[in-house]
Amino acid sequence: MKPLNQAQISFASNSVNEGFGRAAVAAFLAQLDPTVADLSDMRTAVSEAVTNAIVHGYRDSMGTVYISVKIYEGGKAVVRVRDRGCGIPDIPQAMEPLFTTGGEERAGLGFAVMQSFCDSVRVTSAVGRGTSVTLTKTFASKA
Amino acid sequence: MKKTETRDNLLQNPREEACTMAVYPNVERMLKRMSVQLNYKEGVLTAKLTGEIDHHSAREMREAIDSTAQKLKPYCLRLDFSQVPFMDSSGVGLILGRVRLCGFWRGRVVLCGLSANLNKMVELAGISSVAVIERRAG
Repeated sequence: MKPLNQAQISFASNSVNEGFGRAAVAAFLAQLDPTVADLSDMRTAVSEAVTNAIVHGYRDSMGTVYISVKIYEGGKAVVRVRDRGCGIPDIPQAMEPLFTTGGEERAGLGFAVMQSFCDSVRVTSAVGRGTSVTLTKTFASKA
Repeated sequence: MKKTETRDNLLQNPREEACTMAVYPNVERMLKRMSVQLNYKEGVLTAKLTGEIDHHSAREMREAIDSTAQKLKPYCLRLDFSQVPFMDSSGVGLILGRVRLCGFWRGRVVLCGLSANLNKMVELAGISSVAVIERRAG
């Protein structure tokens, strides 16, 4: 299916850019006229994915975080957050709630939050090549 | 009691102004994006957080809270989220880390001013089992 509209965003893996990433996605999705709650959910999920890319993907290096946002018929939005970082060796383990390699200050809830705030989350990864997280959410029209 | 939490109102309220002045003699500096305002009174340390909480901003907030909390060892650490429009799971880490810290001196953590989207995050993480959540009346 061809998207009705789409955007690409890329930025350096500085943690200060986490706010930019989620705000840019939210700004683009505003054309769907989403409810405050739905948009807030997507903003949170994107923040988790971008943080993962910066904290885990580019753990020992700097790199670029790529986001693509696509809007389809019926208010469906697909957000793909991609990095060319270290990759995830064991995806099911990484997606388990409370599992973290980020130390005491990380809750280990990133994927759990993405799953509960979006309709679906798909993760593909190759060690040494990077990770791609695809978030899908259908925004109900307010009318 | 009516709770309006804009910064202008905060300064118009003489009691709150007095407390703020005690911590930050220079009010103008406070108005310039201070992400944590700390206020200590009778064993209760209140940290008023301002701005979005993510992995980037949580570190600054954590350092500001911990340096004071470790000195004062309050029996209650009150985290005020009324000026936080957004929080991801880094905020959960921030809360759980402070619960752990205060546990060293058997202090407890109280959360207040949670908006609907922050509340969703807090509930998902099951924080109500380790911290007290103050609900706004009405």
